Amino acid sequence: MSNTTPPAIPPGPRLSRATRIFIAVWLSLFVLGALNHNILPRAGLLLNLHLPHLRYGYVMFSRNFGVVAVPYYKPADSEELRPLAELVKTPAPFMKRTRTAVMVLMTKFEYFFALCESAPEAHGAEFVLKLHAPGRPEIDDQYRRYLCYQGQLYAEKAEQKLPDLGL
Amino acid sequence: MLKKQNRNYLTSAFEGTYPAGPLGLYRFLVYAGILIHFAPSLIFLEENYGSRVFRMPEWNTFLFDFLPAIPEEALVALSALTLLACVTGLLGLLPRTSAIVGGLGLYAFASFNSISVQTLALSSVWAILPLFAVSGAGSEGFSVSALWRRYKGRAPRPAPKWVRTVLLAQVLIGFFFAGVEKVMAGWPMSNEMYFVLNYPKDFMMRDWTFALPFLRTREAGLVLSVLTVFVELVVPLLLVWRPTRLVAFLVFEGFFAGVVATLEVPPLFYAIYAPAALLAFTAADWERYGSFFARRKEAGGGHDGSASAAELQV
Repeated sequence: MSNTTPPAIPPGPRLSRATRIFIAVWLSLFVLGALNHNILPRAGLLLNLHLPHLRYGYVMFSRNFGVVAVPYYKPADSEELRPLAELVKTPAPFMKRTRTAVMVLMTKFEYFFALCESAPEAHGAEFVLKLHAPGRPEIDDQYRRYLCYQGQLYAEKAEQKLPDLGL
Repeated sequence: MLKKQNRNYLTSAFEGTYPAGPLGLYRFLVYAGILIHFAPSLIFLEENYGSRVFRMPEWNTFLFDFLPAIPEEALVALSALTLLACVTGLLGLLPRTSAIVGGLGLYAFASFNSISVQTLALSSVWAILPLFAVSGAGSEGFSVSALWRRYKGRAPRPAPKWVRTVLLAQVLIGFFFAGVEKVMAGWPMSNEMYFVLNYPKDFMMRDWTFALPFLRTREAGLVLSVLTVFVELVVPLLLVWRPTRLVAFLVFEGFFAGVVATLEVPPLFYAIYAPAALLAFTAADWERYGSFFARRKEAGGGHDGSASAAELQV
């Protein structure tokens, strides 16, 4: 009997050829996917899987919103501005306000209009966008106000345009 | 041609076994993050997947068109099945089946409509669950079966090392290239962190940050931009080098703790990235730490002194 202490973690069998090939292919794809968002496009190469969530441009960003429109609403019987996220029933733990606001921006305000249409509490409420646009004094710190009536949003001023988000 | 010693070094990172505890804990936290992220939209089905809800067609291609054709009962059943698979994955039951059913279900639902679930961390989910599905690993620790083995007095099953190494590589590659992406976009001198820190209330920044005006200065933004790029580009390398591993681990954890404490980001993001650094520690590291803590415990009294990596496996 040997007096040496056996290793606590057994070494296990060697990897099969199939596992080795899988690892090599898997990691290569991963590196390729990462390069596809920065270096490959600059080299004139672009891989596009065309699948939901895997389509090119779907992930990774490193630039921030130049214009932010924080969405609020003011219930018909209140003077207080409330985060628009309160009209969304689906919870989003630790990030509901931001998720709602980002969705409003990413959908170029379509989600803002959709919430007026779908949320029962929205009827008669005022929908408000508070704009934040550093370097653009013509819209920075301004408000856009809309009345949500029977599923449609009506601008406070007819000429009021939604800001260009530069997305 | 790779020299033999380099080839051995490469293969040693994949061949053999790994303590069940860290990999099991990672599996547990990933599924926990997945459940926190996806369960709300799978429970509030009508608001997210009803036939008249607002969806983003440009985010969905072929699956998008099938949604209205799916009967409501089938949608409820699919949602329940997906949730169940995530719960069994969390508990470490039927690990391969859980990953296949859960992965397919989550991918399908996120493709039907991702308005409530879209985030960058999804791309990591689409990579981690297939790996669990292919390997069937991850449930050796922090699972019902591990508890059962412990109850029966059996030694814990070790996990395959290659799964740990591939998972770690996936996370670190993603993290490193996020840094490359930033540098190519002009970081750190573009001072993007300054713009983030100056977002208005009720958007992105957590409320407590508004009590610290210095956070919104250009200098603070620049420091955090430099720090972010440094952590993303350098810490992954320091994590895989033994002499710097522990310090790199602490910096890595501090970075993610700082991000989630400051910004309203999805818990899924934290669950996938932060605990992955645990996998940077080798079996020998865990054994060493296990022995260290066992000695501490013994010094405190009342312990037989024997400790090994096996004790870390549940």
